[in-house]
Amino acid sequence: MKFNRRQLLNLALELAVPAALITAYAVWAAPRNDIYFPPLQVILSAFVEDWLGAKVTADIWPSLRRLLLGFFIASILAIAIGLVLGTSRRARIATAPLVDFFRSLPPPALLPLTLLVLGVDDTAKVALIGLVCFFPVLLNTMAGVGGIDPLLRETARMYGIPLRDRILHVLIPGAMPSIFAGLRTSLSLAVIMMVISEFVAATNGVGYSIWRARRSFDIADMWAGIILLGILGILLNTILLLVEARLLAWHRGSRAAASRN
Amino acid sequence: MMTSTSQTQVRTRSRWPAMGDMLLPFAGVAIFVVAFEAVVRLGVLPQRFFPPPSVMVWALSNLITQPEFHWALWNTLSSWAAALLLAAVFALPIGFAMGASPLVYSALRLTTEFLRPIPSVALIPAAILLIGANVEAKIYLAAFSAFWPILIQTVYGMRDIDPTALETARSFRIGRGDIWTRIMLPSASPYIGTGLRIASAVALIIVVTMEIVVGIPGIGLMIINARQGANVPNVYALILASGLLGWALNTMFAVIEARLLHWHPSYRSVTP
Amino acid sequence: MLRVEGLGKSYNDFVAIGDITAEFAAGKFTCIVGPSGCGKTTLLKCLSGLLAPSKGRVLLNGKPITEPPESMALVFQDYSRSLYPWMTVRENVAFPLRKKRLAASDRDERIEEALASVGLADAMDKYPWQLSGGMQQRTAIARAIAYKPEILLMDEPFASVDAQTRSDLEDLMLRLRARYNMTIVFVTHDIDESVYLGDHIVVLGSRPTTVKETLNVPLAHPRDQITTKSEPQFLELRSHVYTQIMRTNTAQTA
Repeated sequence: MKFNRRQLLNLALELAVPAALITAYAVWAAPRNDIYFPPLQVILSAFVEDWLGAKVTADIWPSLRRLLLGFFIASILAIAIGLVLGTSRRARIATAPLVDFFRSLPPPALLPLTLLVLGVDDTAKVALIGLVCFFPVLLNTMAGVGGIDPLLRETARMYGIPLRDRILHVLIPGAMPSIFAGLRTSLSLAVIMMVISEFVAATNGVGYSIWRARRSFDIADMWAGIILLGILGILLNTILLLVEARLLAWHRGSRAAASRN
Repeated sequence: MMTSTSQTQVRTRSRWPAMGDMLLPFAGVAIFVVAFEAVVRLGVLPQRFFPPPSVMVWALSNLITQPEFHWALWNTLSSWAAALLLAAVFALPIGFAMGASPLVYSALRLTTEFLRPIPSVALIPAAILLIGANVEAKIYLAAFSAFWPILIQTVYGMRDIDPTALETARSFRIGRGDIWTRIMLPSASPYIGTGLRIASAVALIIVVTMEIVVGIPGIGLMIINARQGANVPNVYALILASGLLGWALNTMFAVIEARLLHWHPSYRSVTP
Repeated sequence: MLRVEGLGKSYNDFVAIGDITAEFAAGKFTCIVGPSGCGKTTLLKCLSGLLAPSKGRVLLNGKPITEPPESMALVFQDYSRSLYPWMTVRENVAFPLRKKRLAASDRDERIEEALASVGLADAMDKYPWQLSGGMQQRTAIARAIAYKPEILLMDEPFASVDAQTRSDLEDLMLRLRARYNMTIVFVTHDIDESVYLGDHIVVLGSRPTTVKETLNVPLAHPRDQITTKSEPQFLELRSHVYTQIMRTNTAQTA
């Protein structure tokens, strides 16, 4: 790869600001001895000590398990139901107000409910995460199926494509760009729900660990946990974007081709 | 010829389902409510945890007359509005600067790309610690979350301005100020509208989260209290209320956008 | 043999097709030509079984058509919308063959032959949106040919390509016709095209649509863009069809 001068300058600029911010914090925090803002080295060593050791299996894994279980179960259900509802224009219209309502509902409001009905164990958290992930994916799947060019569906009908192939090779790929928009929303909501359900009612997990650190005034541990959540958020988001880029290469290409014309 | 083709479209579209289509959403809601009611009444779901919809609506109708509910609603709404305003005050200028200047864009791009996916709820413990378990913490954190969608959309909008429109303006020697108010802002406004709408939803989520997790006055705290008092119908009624609130705010933004942006292609067919 | 009997299609009180009776001889190339807005596409959709007629019926070998029949393929006008953008050219052509459960070698041979016959052997692994409009329409034609239909329906297939590509594609159709023994029903509003391609022409009037005339095209094969189109017989037929269509237009405005 070769960069020209301009690109190098841009890259330098892009890296300069975060580097400056981190340095500024280090310089500012080191001599202050503020208990709320411990020196950078202290936070970093807390991070290494906490999150690269035993807590990987004790806390990170339980958190990720809840998040991924809820996210995947809900997404698969939502895509399946969305494909069915999406094919019928009337089903779309009839379910619109309900879907709209559940989509507008601030997800954390459901937290007390799942605590009430399902208690404080993992099932409750997985159910909560799943419930919250379900609607964005459902809505986007329905919109995606509804948005497939009618000519593509007529072509499939004309050639007598069997239902299985129609679902696998026409409806799912056609709705995929829209489905991914829903998955992205869901994933960020899933992280939010995982964290707050662990704040409120958990005995392990990243959220629980941060909450306990705050309670016991282990400020460096709290910041280290927050940094870890940031990294997890970015990592999950990036993985989803990479999967999307791979699966939807055709979509970017065809969009670019359409805008050229 | 022209008239006859347009007639074709009008007539084919207004086949009999026109009236039926209008009733479908009501039918959908009615079926859902009746089915839910039946499932609970028949004992498929335990009534202890799942009150029938009629009981929920009854509880809600009682709630909306209580001053306690008005106070909670006011708390939630005012925090939401303050957070959204605060977010817009910071996000719009930075977004304009990033959109208009490649230098500023390069300088801030990576930082925003990294900060944006950080779940803002992760900052709740820090916010409580630094600001306290109070209304300010709720507003600041919600503003922090609402900041990102407005910023990102503003930058998208500014960078998506049709260069032909700018060149046309320059060729007519239109001044910088007029270019901003007549071309750049109107072109970016649909994106900014989208950003504000997303930000509104995000701000509401964080406000309610803070109320629930930290126990700050508002709808969220009322839900927690209802749960602790084992008042199950009220828990549901309040969740219903917060859903309706979210829906009302969403709809309000959609209507305002459609009104203000009626000239924009993506809004031309929207009927509010 | 494909036959329509007293076919009519209306939406509420709006009559798209009045009454059409026509026959499409097996192994022949029949062009349906008519003024724009006369319901040609509606007729084709009824022929294909995609749309149910309001009255009358469509018969294939004596049996009424209610669903798209196994032995039929349809090429739409809008090539950019009828190809699956997430499939390569090869996958697009292969897609309708899945249910035929052919042996892999057999299937590949069919696909390659179809693509070669439309001149796309080199573009097999490209996506449709990487191709020009003419090449996209060739892909749609190859998809239909690989399917080996007894009847090929084409709905103004060349209406959205440029003039040069259009005459290339017309010649391609003549070659394909000579090579595969298919019944072709070809809808167009281009009178030259209908005379140049057809063995028979069905001239439709304006709405409510009826058949104005059915005529034979006695022009010899092989046909050629320059010599055929300058033959006196060609010119005569062309002006005949033109007069028929103009007459329906003036009748409508009067």
